[in-house]
Amino acid sequence: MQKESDIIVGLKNGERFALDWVYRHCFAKATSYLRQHRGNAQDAEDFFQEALFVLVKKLRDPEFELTASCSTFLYIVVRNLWLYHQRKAGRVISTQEDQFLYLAESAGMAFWQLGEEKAEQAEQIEQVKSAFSGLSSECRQFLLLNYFEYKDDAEIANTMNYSLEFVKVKRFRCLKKLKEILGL
Amino acid sequence: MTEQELDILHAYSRQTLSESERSELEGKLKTDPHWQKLWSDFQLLSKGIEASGNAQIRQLIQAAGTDYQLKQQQKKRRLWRNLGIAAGLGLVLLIAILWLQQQQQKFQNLERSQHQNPQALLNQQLDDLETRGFGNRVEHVSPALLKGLQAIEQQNLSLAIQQLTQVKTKSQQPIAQFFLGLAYAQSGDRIKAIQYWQNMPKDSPEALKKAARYELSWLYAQHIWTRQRAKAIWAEIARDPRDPHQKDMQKLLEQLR
Repeated sequence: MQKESDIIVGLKNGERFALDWVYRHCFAKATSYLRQHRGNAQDAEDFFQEALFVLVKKLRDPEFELTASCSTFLYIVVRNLWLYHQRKAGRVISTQEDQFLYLAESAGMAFWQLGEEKAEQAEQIEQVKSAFSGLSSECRQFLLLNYFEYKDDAEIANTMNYSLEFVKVKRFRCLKKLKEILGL
Repeated sequence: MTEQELDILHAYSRQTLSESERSELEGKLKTDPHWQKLWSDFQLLSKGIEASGNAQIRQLIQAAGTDYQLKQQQKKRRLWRNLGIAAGLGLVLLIAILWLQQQQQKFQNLERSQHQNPQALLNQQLDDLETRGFGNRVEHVSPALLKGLQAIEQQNLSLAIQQLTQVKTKSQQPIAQFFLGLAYAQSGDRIKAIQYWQNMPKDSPEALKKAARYELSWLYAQHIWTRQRAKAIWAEIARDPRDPHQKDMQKLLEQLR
């Protein structure tokens, strides 16, 4: 039997066993609200995936501390996302549910806004993503450690088996290559 | 962008610049188009790389989701298949039970209509035993045998069994054994009844042997597992011209066909 603390670590590292565990143990509970409020099986799958993505992202944030169980967190996120989606689609939601959304926004739990902020630059970001896939696997891994996992230079040097000085050189080279592909 | 410029922007994004370095850079970012461009490109690249990382996570989540849904579908399919099998088995079982009940009913009806009560035989034996002690046919009649048969007539089966098992006279033992089988059959002990009727002494009177065979067949007919044996005995009786039940059995077998 897996401990939830092991699962949290696994989720942070994007490990498959942890994602499988979360699906097995949290999917039904987390999507129960949605399914009771006009959501179908596809909605449940889509919104759960989005909520799980939010959870993984939040777990990678060093300042974030998960105080509830995974399934409770996912239930709240799925519920918020679903209510927000309903409101956006012009469907009437109750005053109580509206209040719930307001409280979530006030408490900094408006995770749906993350997606919208990205949407502003979506096209340019897509170009960078496409260019990024044209880099060598070493460069991709290196840049992900820098700008996705936000590791500091010492950690990167340790992971990649580089000297501290070479980390800076490598960063410069990889970003320069990326800019060249993009024509910046 | 030079390596040095990148180091500054990288450190600024990580908030590791000193206060003075940060103020100096923020001043440039407000006024210097070169630095504004550098910072804008840097942010775009960082966001693009982050988005690539996010895409990897989304792919992993999606793959886990697809697997999960697939497993759920398999589980549902298995559940439906098992339910189908269970329903099929249930149906077969139901049909089998109904068929067995029908068969049982059929044989019970047959027994009610065709099985001739051994009362006549009992009366005959009693008359015979009672007259043996008189006139020229002076013969010792076991009191236990007489009491046993009388007890059967009165349906006191436990007394009948108790008395009949005490009969020791060899010539009277076949009678005792036949009626012991009857007493056990009527009291519901099928196994004992079969034992007595199957093992009638070889030198038993013909009439008793035939009667035991006849009764044994009806006992076999009560259960599906032994019904074939009953039919075999009925066929045997139907072929036996000296058996008093020959015609009845021929009719019975015709009915069963």
